[in-house]
Amino acid sequence: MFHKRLLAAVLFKRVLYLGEKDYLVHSSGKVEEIGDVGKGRVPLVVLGKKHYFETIKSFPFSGLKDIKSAIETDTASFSPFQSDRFFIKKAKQTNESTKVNLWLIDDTYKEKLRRISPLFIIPETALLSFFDEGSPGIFNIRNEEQTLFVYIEQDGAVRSIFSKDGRFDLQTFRRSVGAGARDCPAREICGVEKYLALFPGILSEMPLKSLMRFANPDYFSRIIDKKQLITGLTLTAALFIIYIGLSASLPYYTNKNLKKEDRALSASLSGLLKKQGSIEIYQQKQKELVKRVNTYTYKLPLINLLNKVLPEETTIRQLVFSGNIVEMRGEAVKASELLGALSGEDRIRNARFTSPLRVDKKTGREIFRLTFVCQGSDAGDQG
Amino acid sequence: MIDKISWRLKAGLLFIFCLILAKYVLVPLHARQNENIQSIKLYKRAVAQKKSLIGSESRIDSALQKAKSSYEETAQFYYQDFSDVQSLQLKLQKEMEQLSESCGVKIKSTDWLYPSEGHIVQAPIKIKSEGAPDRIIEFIHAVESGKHFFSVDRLKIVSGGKSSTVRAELDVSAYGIAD
Repeated sequence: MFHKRLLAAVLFKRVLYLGEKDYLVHSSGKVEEIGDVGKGRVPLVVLGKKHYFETIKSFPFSGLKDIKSAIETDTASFSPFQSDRFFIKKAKQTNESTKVNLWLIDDTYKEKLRRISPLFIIPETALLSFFDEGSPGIFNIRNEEQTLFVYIEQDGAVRSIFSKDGRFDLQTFRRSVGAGARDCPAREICGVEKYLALFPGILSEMPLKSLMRFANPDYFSRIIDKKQLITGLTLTAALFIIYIGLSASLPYYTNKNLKKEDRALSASLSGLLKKQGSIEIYQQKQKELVKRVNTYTYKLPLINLLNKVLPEETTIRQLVFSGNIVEMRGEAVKASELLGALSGEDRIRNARFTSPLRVDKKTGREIFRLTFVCQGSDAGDQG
Repeated sequence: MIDKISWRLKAGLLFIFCLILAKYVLVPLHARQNENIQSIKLYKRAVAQKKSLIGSESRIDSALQKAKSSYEETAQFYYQDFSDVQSLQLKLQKEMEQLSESCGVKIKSTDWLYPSEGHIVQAPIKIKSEGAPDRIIEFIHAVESGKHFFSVDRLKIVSGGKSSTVRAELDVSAYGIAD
């Protein structure tokens, strides 16, 4: 239902009826007679009976594509006038044949349609066939001296006749279209406004699939006015070139001006800039000198630290400092206590034995070999 | 002529034209614009910095003096009056001999190690020494807290068994500023 509401809001907001006179039918049901029809004003056009020829034909094949091809090869045999635009609606299909409704548009009217270029073109009798779809009926539409008789068969096929000056009446029409129309209920509509006011209701109930059969193929390949096309293209190209030119030239000139200003400033401030440069060089050099001193791991604080943390009775036989890695070899009453003592210090990391503990048989003390990493110290720790 | 071309062909041609336009015009132009914008940013910063210098001569002079004196103060820890790395190693050796003598540590041998070149020259020597543990500690203290900055890159202290002395091997480096 949503798509129907959307279609009604977009496509059927205003419908153009092209008959003896042209009318604009609003979705509210309001009908308005108009003079010249502007370009692209409406997406849907309902074409009056006088602009097309309607017929019912049967074909020995079922595919609409094949039927279409068959008609295209010889449209002259289907229509009393020159026509290369037609619409088909399948009415009935049996094993032997397919009955279709054909609406062939008069070529003399092509130019006007091309100018309007609507998305959909629906012949008026085709549209009426969707009124109360599935039930047969006759429409007797009177407008001044003209009458349009439309007979919608049980299968949806449409037969119609246009009568001027009362040459046809309803009885004659019933007889001319066949026995099926004899007892068919007739609906009489007097006046064009009443008739056109039916359109929004029919369109809103019309299935989308059925509507697509009346799509205007020229809509996507309409011929554009050459002059307008050239003007549009030239204008677009000019705007594009201006945009490209501005977007390229503005940064370029800004850059150029800044470069010039920078050069002028450099020339006028050369003495100051040199001094500024010297400051940076001094700072850089000092940083380098200070870094070397600050990253150095002083050994004396480390020795003092070891002296403080190692348990009593620990004898160090060998102590090696390589950068911030310390290797130690010695004897202790309980060597495992050493690791605990060392690990408790914030500046000592990864303390571990590098060889298995051995016991000195003479003294009963454990012989150890361990290593650890010392975090950076500072000169202030000395002493 | 254009009317006779189908809309599909027209759309195709337009698409190809757009691709060519994008590849050979828009993309290079965009890249060039980006370069220009980056350059503008750099110049803007440089111009702003230079403009801020105007009228601040005295401030820059004092900043220069400060930076210079600060540098010189730090540079005092480094040797500056040396002709080559070997002369620096010789100075270091003499300094170490003097320090060891004052600390009561006996230097048994000295080797010159490979120096490193560059703006800051590192001149390392290896010293094998012997002395009482407290003397050795005092010697290390003297090395690390001297007038010049010396680094003890490697230190190996080995006890002398039953003897009361310890053997100490030190890789000591002196540093100099090469101009």
